[in-house]
Amino acid sequence: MKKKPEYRDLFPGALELMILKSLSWRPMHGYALAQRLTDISEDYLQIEEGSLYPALQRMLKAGWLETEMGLSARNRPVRIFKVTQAGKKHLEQELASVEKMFAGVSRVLALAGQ
Amino acid sequence: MSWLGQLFSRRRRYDELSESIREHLDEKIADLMDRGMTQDQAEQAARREFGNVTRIEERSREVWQWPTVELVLADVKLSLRRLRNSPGFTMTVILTLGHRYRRQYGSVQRGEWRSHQAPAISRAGTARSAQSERPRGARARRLQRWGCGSQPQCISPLPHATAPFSRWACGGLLRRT
Repeated sequence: MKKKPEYRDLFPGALELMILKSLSWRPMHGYALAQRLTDISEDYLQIEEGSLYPALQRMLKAGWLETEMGLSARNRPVRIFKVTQAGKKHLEQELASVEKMFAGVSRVLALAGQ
Repeated sequence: MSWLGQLFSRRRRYDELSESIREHLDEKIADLMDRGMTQDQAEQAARREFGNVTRIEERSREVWQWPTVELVLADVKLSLRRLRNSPGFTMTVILTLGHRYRRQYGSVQRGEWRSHQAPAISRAGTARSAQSERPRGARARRLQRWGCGSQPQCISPLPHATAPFSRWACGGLLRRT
């Protein structure tokens, strides 16, 4: 998929954060996760489906996710990604850090021109 | 020991990754066909939206690899393949290095060297006998490391760097009868 000029790159770790948050809501297989991210991001973010897989592997390696066999909505056997305890802890830490970062950036953007 | 576990489970991880991507594409194709596309159209659209499957699989596998070690291994494999593809060049290199080795160490293997007789190697690589200029002092001590001083029958072609290694090397394995 060709990147459109109006889309900016995400900051490092943003994709992992969105994946962790989505999977902590409900364990999902790869396609369902891609659909979920596309649906809720509407037109604000352009997430290439394939780019999920390197991120998922990084998270499996870090121990934030684990896989188990399950069934898709079409009753096909698929690998389901689940968040581990370590993943939940990482998500909490990252959310706190990202909120702080956004607050800082917003504050600077609001006050820098005054 | 997690790295050891990762090493052995890597093949399984790679298989799971390929399976996950295949499942993803199958689900997407079925979804697109439900929306009225033909099988061919759905397959094309699914692959286009997914991205380059081979590249993505490669990038995902890289997560489990050790970049430095695997790069060195890849270099070694490439070198061996190149050498196999050009046997003339390979033979020239082997003969050149082998000839150089024989010139330097050939006499040691024939048992002609002694610790106190270690010949000096000139810049051109020719060994000349040290008999006429027997080393003394620090140079003599340095040359003691070549060959085993306590075992005059030693024919080890290797420079003996340490005393324990020297004793081990002469423990009957390399002694001339």
